Amino acid sequence: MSFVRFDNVVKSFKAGGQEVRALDGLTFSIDVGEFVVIAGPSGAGKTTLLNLLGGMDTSTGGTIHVNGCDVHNFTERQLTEYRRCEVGFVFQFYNLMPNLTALENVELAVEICRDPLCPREILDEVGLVDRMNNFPSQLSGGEQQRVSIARSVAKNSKLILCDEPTGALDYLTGKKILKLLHSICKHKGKTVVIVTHNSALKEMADKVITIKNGKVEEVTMNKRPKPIESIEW
Amino acid sequence: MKTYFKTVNRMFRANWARLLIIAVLTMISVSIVGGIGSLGPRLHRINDMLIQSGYTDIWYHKFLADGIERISYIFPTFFILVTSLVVFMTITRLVETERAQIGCYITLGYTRFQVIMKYVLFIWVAVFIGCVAGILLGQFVIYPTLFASIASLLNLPGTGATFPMFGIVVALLTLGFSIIVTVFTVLTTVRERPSRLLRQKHPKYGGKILLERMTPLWRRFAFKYKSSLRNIFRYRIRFFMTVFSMMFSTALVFCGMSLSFALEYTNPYLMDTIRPISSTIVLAAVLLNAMVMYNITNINIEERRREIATLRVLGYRNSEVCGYIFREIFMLTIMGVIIGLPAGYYLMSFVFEFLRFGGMDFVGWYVWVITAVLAFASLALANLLLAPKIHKVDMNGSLKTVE
Repeated sequence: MSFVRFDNVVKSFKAGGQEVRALDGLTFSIDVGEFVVIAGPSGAGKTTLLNLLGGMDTSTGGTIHVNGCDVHNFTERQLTEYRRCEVGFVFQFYNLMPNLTALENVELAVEICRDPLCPREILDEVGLVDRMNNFPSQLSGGEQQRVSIARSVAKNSKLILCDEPTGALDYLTGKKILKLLHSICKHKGKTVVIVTHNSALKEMADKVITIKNGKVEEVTMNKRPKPIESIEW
Repeated sequence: MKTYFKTVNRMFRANWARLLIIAVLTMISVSIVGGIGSLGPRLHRINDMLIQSGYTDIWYHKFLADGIERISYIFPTFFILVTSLVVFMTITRLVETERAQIGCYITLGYTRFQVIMKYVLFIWVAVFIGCVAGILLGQFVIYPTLFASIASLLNLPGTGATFPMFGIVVALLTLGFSIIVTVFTVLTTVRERPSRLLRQKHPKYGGKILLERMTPLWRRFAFKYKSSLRNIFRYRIRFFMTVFSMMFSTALVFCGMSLSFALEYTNPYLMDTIRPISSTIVLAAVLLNAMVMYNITNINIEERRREIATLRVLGYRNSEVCGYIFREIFMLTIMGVIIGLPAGYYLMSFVFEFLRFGGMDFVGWYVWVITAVLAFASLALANLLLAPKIHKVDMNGSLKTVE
């Protein structure tokens, strides 16, 4: 029984009188502790997939199972609880609260969780022990992203979803962030799903799901994923 | 210029809600002020008529006419001020959202004057509609109602027909002030270098507020209040605007209420005639306050879309997200009321002095309580109306852009 399972998931929008299908029968599965990269060209439906998996949107058809729950049938309230406890989200543009310090940003997320980790410890683990009392505007892009990751990890959710986490960062900083995410996956046993249009990152994943036109084009398993330091792009 | 006018048209359509708020606010102000303002001159003319017909015993009528005239000179100031404040807030927000657009216009070679005119036109239409509606409402609803109740009590002869001179003057003043405020607000943006306009405005936050330095006190605050307090003290303009408008409205309500209650003890005859006027002022002040609160909160929500979306992604329930936003306004309201009540008291003693009504000693404690309650009631109303808007913030859309 897989941890995440999408079965023939459809997501359609009405745009100007016409029906647009962002996801057109998407089927895949993810196991616990996997480091997954979702790749594909722009407009393929990667972000829509992540939004559905993260409980930020509801599907039009098909079924979504996460950890045994029927997410596709969730009510508004159940989705809120789902986002609260089961999912940690990392965005391309960090989305930290500008008027809270790094520590407070993590505390904010953790305040409502049932079984969280200690914010200070996590910030220490991501290397921000000296920057805890700084505001986002006083932090670099890489530091802000690390706060964002700390925020997701401290929630102690089983699933961590990342939408282009290195999109706004330079090459070297981006690599450091990916290394951090990978070590969180392996050492804390979290399932990490990264959406990216950078196909070089496929080599570091356990599983690569390639999306095209709202459908799964290919699923590749990497028996020997390459460490991020050795990947160049 | 055809395309330019197309953009003006679109701006109207996209911001019809802002237009409506300003128009309604202006309408309330002008109608109340105009309606009350027409009473004084009319009563004076009736007095003159009575004198000419031989009546000698009209000291009371003259006193009343004088008093009402004086009331009508004071209150317009507040209403115009509050309306100008709301215009200022609205235009500031509008210009902020259209910053990049303005940068484009300037880069393309449009003059500053042309850009400013766009917004002046917008405000002009809103305030003009409000003024016209206000003059009509004042002339045909407020004034006749007030005059009828006074006339019946005093057995006044003749009709109440009068020309709405006062209303028109106040309307013109409101229009003038609104346009001046708009021009100055847009001017500050338009004067910036176009390159800076096209780039995003850098974030305002990023430092400790003064209160934080008092560590033992700061540590006591619950986490959620820290965030609200920081927001309050960092956004100085919004702080002053909210506190000012709360202060004015509270002072006005206090005035209106104490007029009625004080007369109960000093001059019962006057009470019956002044009561309709003071209840109208109180009602208008409460309505005005509710609209200002609505406007401030509305703008606040729009500016903090991303924060709201982030909170929802983190799994905060709707009630918790609402609390996060409304806590701030609530604290600002408390501050405004705390400043507004004494301000109202001093204003009222000045007004009483002006009206030669006697002392303030008879204003009971319940006036203070009712005033505060009304302030919070108007806040609660505004919040209730805006809670759905928070719920509607789209998580997916709000979190993707660079802003």
